[in-house]
Amino acid sequence: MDGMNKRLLPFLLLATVLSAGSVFLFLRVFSIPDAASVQRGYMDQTLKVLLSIASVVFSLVITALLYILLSFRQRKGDTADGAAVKGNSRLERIWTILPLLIVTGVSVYGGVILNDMTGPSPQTVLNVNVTAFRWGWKFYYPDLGISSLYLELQADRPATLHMQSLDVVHSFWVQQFGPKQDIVPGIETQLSLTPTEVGQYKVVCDQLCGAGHTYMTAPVYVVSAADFQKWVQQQQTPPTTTAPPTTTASLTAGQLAQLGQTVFAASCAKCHGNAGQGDIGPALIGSKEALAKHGTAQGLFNFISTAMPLDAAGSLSHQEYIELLSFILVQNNLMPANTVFDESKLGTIAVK
Amino acid sequence: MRKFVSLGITRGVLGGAAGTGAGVGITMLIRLALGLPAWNSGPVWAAGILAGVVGYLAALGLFNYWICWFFGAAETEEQPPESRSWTRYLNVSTNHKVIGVQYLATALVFLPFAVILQLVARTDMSKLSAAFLSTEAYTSIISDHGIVMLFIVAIPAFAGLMNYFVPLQIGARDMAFPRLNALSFWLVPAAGLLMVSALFAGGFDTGWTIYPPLSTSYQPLGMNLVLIGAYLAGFSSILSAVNILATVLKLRAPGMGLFRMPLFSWTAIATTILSLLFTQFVAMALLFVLLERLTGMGFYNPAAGGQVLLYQYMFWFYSHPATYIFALPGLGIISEVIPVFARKPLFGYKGVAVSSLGIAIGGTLVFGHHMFAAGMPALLRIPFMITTMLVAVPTGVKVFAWLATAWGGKLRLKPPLLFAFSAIILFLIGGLTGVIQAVVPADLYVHDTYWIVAHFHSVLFGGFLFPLMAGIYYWFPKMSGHMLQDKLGKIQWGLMTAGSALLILPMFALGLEGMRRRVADYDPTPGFQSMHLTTAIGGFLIFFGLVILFYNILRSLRRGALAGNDPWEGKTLEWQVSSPPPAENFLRAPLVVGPPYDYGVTGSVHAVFPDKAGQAQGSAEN
Amino acid sequence: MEVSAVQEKPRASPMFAGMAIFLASEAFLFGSLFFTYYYLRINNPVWPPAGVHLDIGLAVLSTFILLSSSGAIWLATRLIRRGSITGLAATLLATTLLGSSFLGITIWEWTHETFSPWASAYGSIFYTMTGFHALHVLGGVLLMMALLIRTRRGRFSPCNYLAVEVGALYWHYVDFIWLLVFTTLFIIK
Repeated sequence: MDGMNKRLLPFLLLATVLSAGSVFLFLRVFSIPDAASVQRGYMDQTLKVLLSIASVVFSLVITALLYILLSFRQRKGDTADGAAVKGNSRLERIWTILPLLIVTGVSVYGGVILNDMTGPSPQTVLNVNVTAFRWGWKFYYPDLGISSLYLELQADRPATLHMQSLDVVHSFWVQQFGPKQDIVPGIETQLSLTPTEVGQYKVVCDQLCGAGHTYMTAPVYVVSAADFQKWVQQQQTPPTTTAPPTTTASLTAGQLAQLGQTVFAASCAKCHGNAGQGDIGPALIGSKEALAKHGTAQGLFNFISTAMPLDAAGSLSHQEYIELLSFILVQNNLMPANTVFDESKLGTIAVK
Repeated sequence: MRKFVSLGITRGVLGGAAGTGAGVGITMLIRLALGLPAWNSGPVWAAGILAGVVGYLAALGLFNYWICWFFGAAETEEQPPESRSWTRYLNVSTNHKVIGVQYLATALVFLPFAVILQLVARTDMSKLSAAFLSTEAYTSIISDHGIVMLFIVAIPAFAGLMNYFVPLQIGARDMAFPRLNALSFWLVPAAGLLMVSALFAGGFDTGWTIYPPLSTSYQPLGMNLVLIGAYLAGFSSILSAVNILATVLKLRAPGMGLFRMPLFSWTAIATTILSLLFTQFVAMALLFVLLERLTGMGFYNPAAGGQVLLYQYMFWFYSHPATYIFALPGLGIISEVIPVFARKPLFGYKGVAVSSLGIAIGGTLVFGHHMFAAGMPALLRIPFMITTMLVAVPTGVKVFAWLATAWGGKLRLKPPLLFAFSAIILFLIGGLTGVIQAVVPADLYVHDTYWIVAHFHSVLFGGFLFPLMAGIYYWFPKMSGHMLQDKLGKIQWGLMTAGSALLILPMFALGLEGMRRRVADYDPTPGFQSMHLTTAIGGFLIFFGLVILFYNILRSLRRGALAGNDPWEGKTLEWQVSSPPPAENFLRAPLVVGPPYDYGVTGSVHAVFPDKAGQAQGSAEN
Repeated sequence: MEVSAVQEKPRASPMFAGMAIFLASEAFLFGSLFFTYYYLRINNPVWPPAGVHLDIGLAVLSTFILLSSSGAIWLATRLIRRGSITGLAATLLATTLLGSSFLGITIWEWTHETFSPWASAYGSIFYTMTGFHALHVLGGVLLMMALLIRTRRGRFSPCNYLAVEVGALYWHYVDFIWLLVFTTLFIIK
């Protein structure tokens, strides 16, 4: 027995080092990138604690296996059987009861964290109605009367999302904010978030919803209280109809279309296909089916400049949208390439 | 040519084709008469396939006995005599050993297919070239990978080993219902064919979980093929469970009390209780999807008063216990292998045996943990968190018992033991991460990310794939009479273990970094591409391991060393007969007199074989 | 080679056990249907939806028919145990006819309901639940017919009636399930 203890010592040491090392690693060194909300604070802490516990168990078992593999191999020529040990009631009781206590403890811990994380919403909560559809997002602020294609949130102010789906099960997730919540047709689901860092993020759909699932995203902006007020005022003021900047003076449709082709490749091709033939998004070139419902070139322009690209709606410049429009119109023979492009006449060009 | 045509499988295929043609034709005519669209419509194909399946089973002769019985024919337990030619595997046989090999062979045929599907997907995701898969193709491929692996590889592979070895281990002549057994098997190739055909019928992009409304309202014809295939596979699973349970409960040899029964048969009980009962729920959930697609019934349609979440509750009520159906037999195999190759009794046998039931029963109470983010009532999440964690306790009992069994033993580092050890490590990783996910706040982050993909591949590799390899290397000598080559087995083990590490570990990291699952693309993020590339390399290593396995099997069938009755010096009943066993298993009936794993315990005997004079004989033979 | 299955206790045989195990599985089949019904019911404020009028009279008649048929098959097992082949045949025939009447009534009800299977989720679960039950009754009727044919061929005797016992077990079970279906659809609603 003494010989075995001596051999055991380095492994006990190894087990201790591995366990302590991994606990240190997960509690102190390891971090999940880009935490930016109160919820992430809870979740990250939970994950670190759980990973530490798991890694201790793993270290112990791995060390035991290593010891077993190195110490108990049958030597050449030895045909005897091993020790005739059938069991040990005390040991079996320990390894039933101890894990039971550990998992009970972890359950309690998890329950407490969940409770803290999903506490009641205060009065100042920002309510946002979220509509998910194949394959995009729409946001509406019921208390402010604002509609938006991106999510604007205020730092350090709790927000409650009231979510509905127009078609299939989707899921709302901003990785930096932490929790996700499925969006189920026929019911309203809710998610409470309190973002803490000003910045730009992205909401993704995290429940497979069809071909466009990968690209079903929308921008999320977290701004300071002052900036949020400014944004609210800006959204609530009706847009003034100013004449668009005439940077397109005396360029032909063909020239603009050339420029538009580059924009298309960068921003549109991944959904509409490299040649606009359609993929996740409908065909834009060679088939006018998707274009026709906008009636005129002006209607089409209004649509793409506010709703496209789907994962960054309205993010391109006015000039770029004009170039894109020209590209689509010229490629579909709706506007001759050698005409001088006139923005004010877009309402007279039928798109059919 | 005559021989080819007389094969059962040929008749089956012809019968299937005839049935499909008849079904399609008749349904088309009916629909034309009713003024409905007839060509290439869902109901036409569904009716055609169902008629095809009936035609296929009938042409195989699987209904003959019962039809004769209906008309008053005499009952008989006599089974047709076994042919010795290899073609018996392509015919209907009622012998559990033939059926066991048929199940196993079917699983091993579909396994590389399902692996290759994922290798294609992983290569695309490694971004070594421009994307060559469209989003729909990518999603169909990963969906088919999942569903084929689970229903046509995992369940049938273990069904095969259980079919072959449970009757032997309990000292029975065959299963309780041999003809039902044949029917259960022949459903599986049909199901597999349907699920593979789905890829050529438009595919399906719902993932293997087939959630409505995506599955009810937005899928091409391929979805129907998968639904019917899953239904057939479920049917097979239930019928097989009836057989195994009746066999273990009623046909054990004299002296074999439940606590003298080998662990593999214990886990067979636990597994089949689950597949017997819970498969019905997923069958109904999928049937509702099919009915909604074909007839417009509104189970999941909110506009008609239906509920989308109804599907998820019913689906997961089966699919969580299903994970134990995939893993319990594997855990049983580990419990078989370690005592034999450590030459020590299984430590705490009773605890390990009972823990199988503990896992099975506990596993029925945890299904809500798949739905923490699904929109179920928030408070309901807590009980499921607790029950999920409790299942770790019986699982831990097994792992600790295995370690204690090996501790102090005389380890023979043969492939079965090596695969068992890798299985333990992988299953441990899967189990520990499962406990992490059980905690709701943690799950709300990792749910539907690559972390989850890593978790379930860990438990599936540790509970299914590696134990399957252990089981094959352990029992191939018994089934074929030849030994598999040791060295090849060790190379395969090395490739698969290394490959699994490369496959699984980066996926945990990817998940924590926020990469969603089931997406066909990802933003250029530092480290992502190399992690995807690593998982792809891991996948290829595993595949090469499988290639070595197939070579080893095919080579050893002819040129492997002769195995003899008991190459591993095992005590359980299957090792007391010839390799392969005689048609009726035991030339003399066994009498069980002691426990099955008492290696090293002097004087301990598991079973004797009394001759006609009642004299105890050590072997079943002379 | 005919097995002269001299059964001391048919209920100890693997065949009987197999049927019982199978019926345990079917319990979960119907369980999934009941779960669906009650889940939809909880989540729909108006249930059954407007326009659904159920004819409880016919359902009560169906219940009596099935209960009588259970009585008949129970009688059948007693009679064969006492050696009465004619009694066995008569009671099997009665069971078959009663079961067929139940099916007839079911079909009549289906074709005269005020709601369709596809107009609402209620319709869908109503028809599916009664449909699965009717399928099981059909299976039972076919089983009874087979037993009747086998009785006429002289396959049963007081020492050999395992198939009758197994058939009776199945029949009682299907009957019991009907009681649950009836209570759910027509009483609890």
